[in-house]
Amino acid sequence: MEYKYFSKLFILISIVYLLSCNKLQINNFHQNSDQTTSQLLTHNFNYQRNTVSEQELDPPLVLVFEDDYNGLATNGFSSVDSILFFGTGKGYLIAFDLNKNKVVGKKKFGLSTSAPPTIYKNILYQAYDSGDYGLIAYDVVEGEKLWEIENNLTSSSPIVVENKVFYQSNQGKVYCCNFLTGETIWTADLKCFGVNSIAFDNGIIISSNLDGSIFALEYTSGIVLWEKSLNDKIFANPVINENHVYISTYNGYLYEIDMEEGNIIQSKDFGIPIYYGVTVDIDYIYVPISSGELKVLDKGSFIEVWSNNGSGPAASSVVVSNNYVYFPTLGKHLYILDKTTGKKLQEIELEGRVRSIPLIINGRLVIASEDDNVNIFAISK
Amino acid sequence: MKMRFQIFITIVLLFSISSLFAQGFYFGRNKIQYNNFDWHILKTEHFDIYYYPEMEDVAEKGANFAEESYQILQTKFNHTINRRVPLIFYSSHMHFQQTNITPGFIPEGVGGFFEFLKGRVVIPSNGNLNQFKKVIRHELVHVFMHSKIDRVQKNKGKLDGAYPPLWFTEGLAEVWSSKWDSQAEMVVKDAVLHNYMVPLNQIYRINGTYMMYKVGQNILEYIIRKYGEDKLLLLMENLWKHSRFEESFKETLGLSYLEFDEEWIYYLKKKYYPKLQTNDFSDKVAHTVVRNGYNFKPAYYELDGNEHVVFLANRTGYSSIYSRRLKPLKIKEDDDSEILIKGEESSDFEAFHLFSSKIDVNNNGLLTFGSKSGEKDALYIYDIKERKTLNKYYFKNLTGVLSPSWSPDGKKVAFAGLDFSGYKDIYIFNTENEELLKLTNDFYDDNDPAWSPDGNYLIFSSDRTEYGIQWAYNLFMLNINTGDLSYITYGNHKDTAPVFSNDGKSILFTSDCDTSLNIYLAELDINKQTIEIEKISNFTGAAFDPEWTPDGGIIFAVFEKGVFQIRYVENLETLRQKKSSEFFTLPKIVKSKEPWKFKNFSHDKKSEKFKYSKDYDLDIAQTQVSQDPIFGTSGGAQLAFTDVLGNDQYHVLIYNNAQSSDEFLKSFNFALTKVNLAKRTNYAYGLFRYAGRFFNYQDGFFYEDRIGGFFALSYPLSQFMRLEYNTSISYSDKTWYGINNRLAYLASNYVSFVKDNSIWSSTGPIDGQRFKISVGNTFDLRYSNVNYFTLMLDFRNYMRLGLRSTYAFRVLSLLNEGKEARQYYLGSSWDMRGYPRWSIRGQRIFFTSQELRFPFIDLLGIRFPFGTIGFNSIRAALFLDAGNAWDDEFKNINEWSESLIGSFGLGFRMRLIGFLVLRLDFGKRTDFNSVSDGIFTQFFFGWDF
Repeated sequence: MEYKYFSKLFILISIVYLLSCNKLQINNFHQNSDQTTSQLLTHNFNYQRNTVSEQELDPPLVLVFEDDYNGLATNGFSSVDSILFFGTGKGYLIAFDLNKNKVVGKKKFGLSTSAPPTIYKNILYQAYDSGDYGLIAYDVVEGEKLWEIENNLTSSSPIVVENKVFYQSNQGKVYCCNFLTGETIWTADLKCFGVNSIAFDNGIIISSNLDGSIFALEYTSGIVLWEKSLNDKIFANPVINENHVYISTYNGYLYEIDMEEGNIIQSKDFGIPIYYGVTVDIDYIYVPISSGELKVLDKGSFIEVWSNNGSGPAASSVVVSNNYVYFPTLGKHLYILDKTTGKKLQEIELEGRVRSIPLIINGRLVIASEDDNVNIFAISK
Repeated sequence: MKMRFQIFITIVLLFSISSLFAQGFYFGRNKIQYNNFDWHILKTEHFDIYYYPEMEDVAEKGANFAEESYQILQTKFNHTINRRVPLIFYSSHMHFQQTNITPGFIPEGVGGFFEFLKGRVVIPSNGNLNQFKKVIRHELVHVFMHSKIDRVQKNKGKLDGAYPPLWFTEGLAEVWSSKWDSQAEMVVKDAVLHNYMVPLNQIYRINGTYMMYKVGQNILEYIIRKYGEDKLLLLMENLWKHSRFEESFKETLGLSYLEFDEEWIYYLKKKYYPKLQTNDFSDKVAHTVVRNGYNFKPAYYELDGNEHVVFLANRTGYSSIYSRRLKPLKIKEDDDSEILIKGEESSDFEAFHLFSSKIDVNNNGLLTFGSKSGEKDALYIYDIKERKTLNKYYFKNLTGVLSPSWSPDGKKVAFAGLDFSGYKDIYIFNTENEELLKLTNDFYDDNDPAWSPDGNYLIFSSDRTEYGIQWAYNLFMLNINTGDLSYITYGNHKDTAPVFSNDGKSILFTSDCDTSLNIYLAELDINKQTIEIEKISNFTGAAFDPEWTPDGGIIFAVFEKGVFQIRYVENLETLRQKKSSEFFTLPKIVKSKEPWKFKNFSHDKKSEKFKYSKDYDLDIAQTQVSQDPIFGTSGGAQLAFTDVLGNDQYHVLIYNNAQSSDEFLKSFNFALTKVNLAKRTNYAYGLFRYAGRFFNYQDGFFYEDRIGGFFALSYPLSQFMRLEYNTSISYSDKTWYGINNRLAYLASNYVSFVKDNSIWSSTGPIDGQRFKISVGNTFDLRYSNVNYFTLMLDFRNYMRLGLRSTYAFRVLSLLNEGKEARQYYLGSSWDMRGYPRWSIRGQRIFFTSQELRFPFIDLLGIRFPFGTIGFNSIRAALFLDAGNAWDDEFKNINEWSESLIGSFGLGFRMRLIGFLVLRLDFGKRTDFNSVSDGIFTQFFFGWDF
C-alpha cells in the first residue's frame, strides 16, 4: 500500500515537472525591426561592451524580489520591454517578466552557459561553454529552436548585426553566421584561446584573448585589419568608446588603443590583476580592480580622479549612469557611488557573491548572485 | 542481525568514545592535554583568531599576517571567503600537538593544517615569525582553493566534480606562500642528478611526502614561468567541465601529463646536469661515515682513545641518538652504528627535533641534547661511557630546548630556548649552580649558539639582521662579558650552524647564499668591518651542519640520493677544490635601533577581543538504512556536535529496527554521549537504550531491551600508557523466545591499563609493543540474575629483524566467569586463521599467534593499452596460530593441551587507498597431533595484529 502511494506521487510530480519547467514561448513579444549597432535594443549593453546606462535609480534602493533559478545566472541580462532573458550555469534559458515578477518561460538546452544571451528579431541567441553545442538560435515567439552549432563551445556573448551573427569560440575562431539559418558566412581562425566576449563598433570586430593578443576584423569579410600582442593575459572584454579600444589585463595594465590603426595611445599600470572590462563615459574611465578598489581616471590623461574601496574584488564591470556608479563586488556587496566624488551613497549586502553586471531597466535594478539568486531592487518609497 | 546490529552500534558508540582514547579505542598512543589554555578570541575583519594570553603578541602579529594574506589571495583567486575563518594559534609545536581539532597524532614535520569539515586552520608559531607568516599564507591558500573550487562546481550545478590532486593543492600553497629556497632546491636537484625524479604522470608514488610538496611547487613555478600565472587560476576555473583534473590540465595548458613531463623534465635536466661539470657528488670527495636512513647533526667525541661521531637519526621508524667509530673510515654497511638512546618509545625521549636541534659532547664525554619529555623539552646530560642519563633539567617558562652547546670548560651549556609566549632566545645554563641566564630577549629568532674556544664569546644565527624581514639569517657574535653584539656575516640569505675552529680564528657555517646549502668559512676578526667569506664545499647536493675534529678534519651532513648522510674529510683542503671568496662589509649594530619588526594588528580596523566561550557546531550527520533477509529493514542516524576547539563533543545516535508500526517504540534505540577532551583526564558519559531482536550462538534468538547510562574515564600516564575506567548501570529485560524471561539491573565496572609504543609499516605494526589488561565485573543489583567477572589480557610484541621485517608475537587471554557469563569467539582472518568466523566459542579463551612479516613485492605494475595500474608494498607473513576456547573449569595441562588447535601457513597483505588492507591467507589446520588435508584459503580485510 505504501508502495502504490509513493509510486503515484512520483509519477504526478514528474508530469508536473515536465509540463511546467521546460517551455519558453512568449506570445506577445515586442517586435522591433529598427536597430542600429550602437543601440540598446537587442542587448542591454551595447556591442561596444561599454556598461553605460541610460537609465538610473536614485538610492536608497530596497530589495523587492529575489528567487533562485537552476544555477548561477549569466553575468549579464538581456531585456526587451519588461521581459528579461538570461541563461544559467545548469544550461537553462529563462524568460522573466519584470512587471509580474515571475518566470514566464524556461527551457534547458546545453549543460552550462555563462555569457548573456542576445535577442534579435524575436530570436534569442545563447552561447554555451559546455555540452554538445556552442550556440543555439531560438525563436522566442514560436517557441522552437531554429538551429544550433555543434561543438565550438564559447564564453562569448553573440553579436547580431545586419542579419549576421558573430561570436568567438573558446578555441579562438571567430564565426559569422546567417541569423536565420546558422549557415557560416565566414570564419577567422585566430589561433588563440579566449574566455570573454568580442566587441563591435563601426564595422570592426575586436577580439581580445588569454594569450594577450588583440585582433581587429572587418565584419563583412573577417579579414584581420590589425593584430597586436600585449605580452600579458586578458580576461576582460574589450571596451570600445569613440573609436578607441580599452583593454585591461591580468598583470594590472589598462591600454587605450586606436581602433583603426591598432596603436597604443596610452597605458597605465595598476599592478594588480584586472579581470573585468572598464567603463568609459564622456569624461572618465572606471577601472574595477581585483583588490576591491574602483579607480576612476580622467579619460584624456589617465590621471586618477578618485577611487573607492569595496568589500572584496570587483565582481564585474561597473555600470555608470548620469549621476551614479553601480559597483558590485565579490564581497557580496553592491555599492552605489556618487559619480563625481566617488562617495558611497548606499551599500547593499546580498546573500551571495555578486556575479553579474547590474541591469537598470524600467525602474528596477537586476543583479545575479551566487546561490543561484536573481535579485531585483527598486527605489525605496 | 544481532552481529550486525551490535557491530553497528558498537562502532558508532566506540566512535564517540574513541575520541576519548586518541588513536583508536583498543590501543593507540595518547594525546595528552598538558596545558589548560585560557582561550581568547580576537575577531578581525575576516578571521576569528583563537589564542591564549601568553602568546598575545604573536597572535596579534599573526592577525596582521592573516589579513594581509587575505587581501593578496582574494586577487589571486578572484574570490572571497563568505564565512569567517577560524584560526587557532599555538605558541609552539608542542602545544600544537595537543590540539583536539584533529584526533590523530601530529608529527614534528607538520607545520599547520586546514580542517575542511568546519573550515578551521590550526597553526603553531614556534619562534620564527617569518615561518609563522608563511604557514598562515600556505593554509589560507588551501582555504581559498577549497572555497573557490566548491563554488565553481556549485555555480555549474555539479555535485561531484573533479578535485585537484594533492601535488597541486600543496604545490599551489607553496608557490603562493613562499619563494623557491635552498631546501626546495636541495630536494629537486638531488632527484634530477640521481635519476629518481618522479614525473607528473607518476606523482602518486610520492603522495604525501615532502618531495611531493617540492615537486608540486616546481611544476607550478615552471607553469608560471612558461605559461603564465593565470593558468593556475584557470586550472581551477575549468575544473567543473571535467571528471578528472588531468583533463582540466590538458584543456588549460594544451598538454597531457605525458607531454608536459617531456618538456618539464627536459628543463630540469638542462638546468641541473651542467652542475656536474663544476660540482661533485659528496661521496666522491669525502668519506662516508653514515649512509642509510635519515642522519643529522653530527658531533665529535673521543672515548678510550678512539674517535667517534654521535648523531641524531631515524633509521627504523624511531628517532634515536646513534654513535659509531669515526675511524676506520671504510664502511660496508652501517651495522656498526649503535643506538645510544632510543627515542619515541618512552616518555623520557619522545622527540629529538632532528631537523632543528643540534647535539654536543664535551671533553669529559658528556653528551648534551634537548628532547621532548612529557609536556615540554628537557635539557639532558648523558654520560656516553656509562650509558646513563646524569641529569635532566626542565625550565619553568621554556617549552623548547634546542641546540645545546658545551662551554669549553664543560660547565655551562648554551642553547636556544623557546618560551611560552612563542619567542626564541639564547640562554646559558650553569650545570654547577643550575642558574639560567637569558642573553637575548626580543622577538628575533635566535638559534645554534656555539662557544668560542676562550669561552668569552657566543656565536649564533639570528634573523635580527636588517634582511631578517625577508627571512634571512646571519651570524652574530655576542661578548658574554660585555653584552656587545656584532655581525659576523651579512646578506640576504640564511647563515646557520656556526662552529669555531679549534684556534678560534675562523668559523665554519652553513649558508645558502648561492641558492644551495653549502659549507663556508669566515676568517674571524671582530675588529674588522669587512669580512672574507670563503665557500668550502662545492657539491651537487646540500652540505650543512659542519663540525671540526681536533686534528682539523670536518664532519658534516649531506642530502644525497634522497637520504641524509654524514661525511668526513681529514682537512679543509680536501673540500676546498677551488678557492672562491667574497668580501662583505659588516654594518654596525646600533643598540637602540631595531633592524626590523612586524606590525601588530591595528585595532583601528574592525576588531574585538574577548574570552572564549563554547560555541557548538555540527560535525557529522549521517544516516544508514539496511535490509537483512532475516531481520528485515532497519535504519538510523547519527549526529555529532563539537565546539570550535574540538574539546567538547556531543554524539546523538537514533536507530530503529521495528518490523511493523506497532513495534516502533519497542524497537526505538538511542545513545546520547558527551565527551570531554579538554584536560589531561578525558571523560565521557551518556544515556542509551538498545532494544531489538538478537542472535548469538550462546543464547540463540532472543529479545533484549536495555536502558541505562555509562561513564568512562581515561587518564594518560604518558604518550604511551594510560589507565581507563568504565562504569555503566542499565535495566535489562531479556526474553529467550518461547523459553523464559530475565530481568536485571546491571552494573558493570571495568579498569584497564593500556600501553602502546608501536610503529607501523603499511599493513600493521612493525616495531615496539602493545598490550592491554582489563579487569571488571558485571552484576545484577536487584535480582542477582547476573554476576560474572571478566579478565582480559592482550599482549603483542614486535621484534624488528630488519628495516622492513619483524617477528610479531601475540598472546590473548580472555575469561568470563560467573552467572550469565558471555562467551568469546575465535575463528577468522583476524585471529585463528583457517577456522570459520566465530566457530570457536567459550567463556575462556587462550590464543597465541606468531608471524614472521617481511616485504614481498615492492611494486607491481600492470600496463594496459589505456593506462597503468600499480600496487605498492605487497607484504607477506609466515604465521602460526594456536589456542582454544572452552566453558568448563580449568583442566589440567594434559587435557588442555589435547584440545589445543591451530593453523599455520603463508599470508599476503596489501594496502589500498591509504587505509584498507586486504588479506589473503593460505594454510593448514592442525591439532598439533596431525595436519589437515588440503589447504584453506581465507580472504578478508583488516590490519595485521
